[in-house]
Amino acid sequence: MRISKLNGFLILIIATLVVIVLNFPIYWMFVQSVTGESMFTNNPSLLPKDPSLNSYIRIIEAKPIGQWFINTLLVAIGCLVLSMPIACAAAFSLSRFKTKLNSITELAILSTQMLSASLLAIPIYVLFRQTGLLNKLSGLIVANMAFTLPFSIWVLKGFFDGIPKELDEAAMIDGCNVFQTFYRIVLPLIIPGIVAMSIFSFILAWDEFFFARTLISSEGTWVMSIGLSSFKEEFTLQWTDLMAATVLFTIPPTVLFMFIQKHLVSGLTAGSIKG
Amino acid sequence: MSRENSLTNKIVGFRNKRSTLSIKSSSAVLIIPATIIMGIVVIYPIITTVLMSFTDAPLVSLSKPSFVGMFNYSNWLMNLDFWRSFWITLLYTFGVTIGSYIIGLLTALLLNLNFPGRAILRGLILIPWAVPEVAAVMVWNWMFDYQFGIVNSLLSSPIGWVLDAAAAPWTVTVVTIWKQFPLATVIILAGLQAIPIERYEAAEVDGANSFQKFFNITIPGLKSVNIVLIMMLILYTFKRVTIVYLLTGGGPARATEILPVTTYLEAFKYFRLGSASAVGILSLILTLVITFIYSKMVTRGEA
Repeated sequence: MRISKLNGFLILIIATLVVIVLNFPIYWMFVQSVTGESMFTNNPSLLPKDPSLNSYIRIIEAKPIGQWFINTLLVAIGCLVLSMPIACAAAFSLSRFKTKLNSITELAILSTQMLSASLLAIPIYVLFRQTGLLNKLSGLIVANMAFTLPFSIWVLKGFFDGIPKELDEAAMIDGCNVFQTFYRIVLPLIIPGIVAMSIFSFILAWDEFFFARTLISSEGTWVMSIGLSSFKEEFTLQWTDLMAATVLFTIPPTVLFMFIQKHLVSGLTAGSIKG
Repeated sequence: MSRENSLTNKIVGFRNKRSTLSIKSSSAVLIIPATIIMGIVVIYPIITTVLMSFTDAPLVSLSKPSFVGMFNYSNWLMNLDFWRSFWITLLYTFGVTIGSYIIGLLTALLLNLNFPGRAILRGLILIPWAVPEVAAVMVWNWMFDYQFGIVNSLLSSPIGWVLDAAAAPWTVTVVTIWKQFPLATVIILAGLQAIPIERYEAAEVDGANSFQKFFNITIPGLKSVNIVLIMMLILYTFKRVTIVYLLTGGGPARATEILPVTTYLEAFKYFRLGSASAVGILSLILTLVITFIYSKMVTRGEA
């Protein structure tokens, strides 16, 4: 729609204000993490008073932040490496063929949309206890796939659906079998979608709290989300330290998210609007 | 569906029966890894949960759970705590869905306007979505701190945001809306861009004002997007558990105890797996009922 320069500038100001207000908690997280001991006042100031990085130094010295970081990274990368090839193959199959096995898998994908992590945690806990996967990062990786796999399949199917089926038909007539058609012809066309979903599945696993809380108990295998929530249970809660830890935990997904945001949006809407 | 069939038919035309079979088995090979994983982490868990819900399985000694029939179910259905949890879940889901939708719609309409720098703002508005849930809960918890929180320091009379049974349900709703609205923004924004610009131009020629354009073009143009989006918001909120669990743990005085929290507490705090499975299955059934009612309402609205 046609908008004059002055109006465009006014809208920019309004939109900027809206974005600032909605993102205030993020700003506050950062400000509080660099505030000195003066954060315990009845009149907190909007700008950091005598800013320092002391709280960051303190948590790195006092808490096994590095270990949490590595554990979280292992889980997120493991989840991504396992999920993506499986999801790509399944999404292609679902997009192209209608078989009984496909309908069963599709039903399982749909039903995860209705299952809460707290319901799934019970049987998975029982299963892992019997198979010795409790307290193992590998177990957590498998459990996280309960949510990363169906989401990736669902969105990637949207990408595959967007690629004309005439292309497969031509490839098959030229003598490609289904696998060759899949990885030589169709897969290269959805690489932007794969990149976006890889990062998204990384973020989902990075962020996950409930399975980690249920399936991991020994401190050596804690991930970031459990480490953060453990601050709350301490008697002498240091809010500056906690805010510093949340900032460290928030940076990787936010950076990745900004990076893929455009691809993710197109993929998500392609998948969701088409149903 | 018909497109898949047409593909298969065409290929049958070019190939003999044997290679059609090989296409079928290739499609199976492609899907089997996903089916196995989904079997382990989704299908097997659902079946186990249903079986466990008919027993008195405790968390400590899993070896000898005994069959108790429908006892867990009748116990929950006659328990006022269950119905209170259900009511709280409904209010929470309703509040979060409406709130996320309204903020999503307003921000999407704003960011759909043509102004300099909107690409950057479109990226920045999604930050709450990117922030890990645990981190989000921690910062809100600090903002809502009774003594030192910024929210109370701006108000004249301090409120126990997570301590007061009257305020806590609002608090968890607001925090969840904040975490979830960007999903609505993104999807509505995509829906707005799918509305053909010619419609607005034609309306302008006919002398329609902004309000008329909004109600006669924008709102009807968003209809199909709305159906999917609202369904997504309902489902995602109904099963959400981390924010409420970490913010209030279901308290104070169980005022924020939504059904997923009840399920978790029953299993991992009171160690009653059988009873926890039953309440989990009940809430799954209620989700299915709500989904069914919603889809009926939507299809009736379309007819």
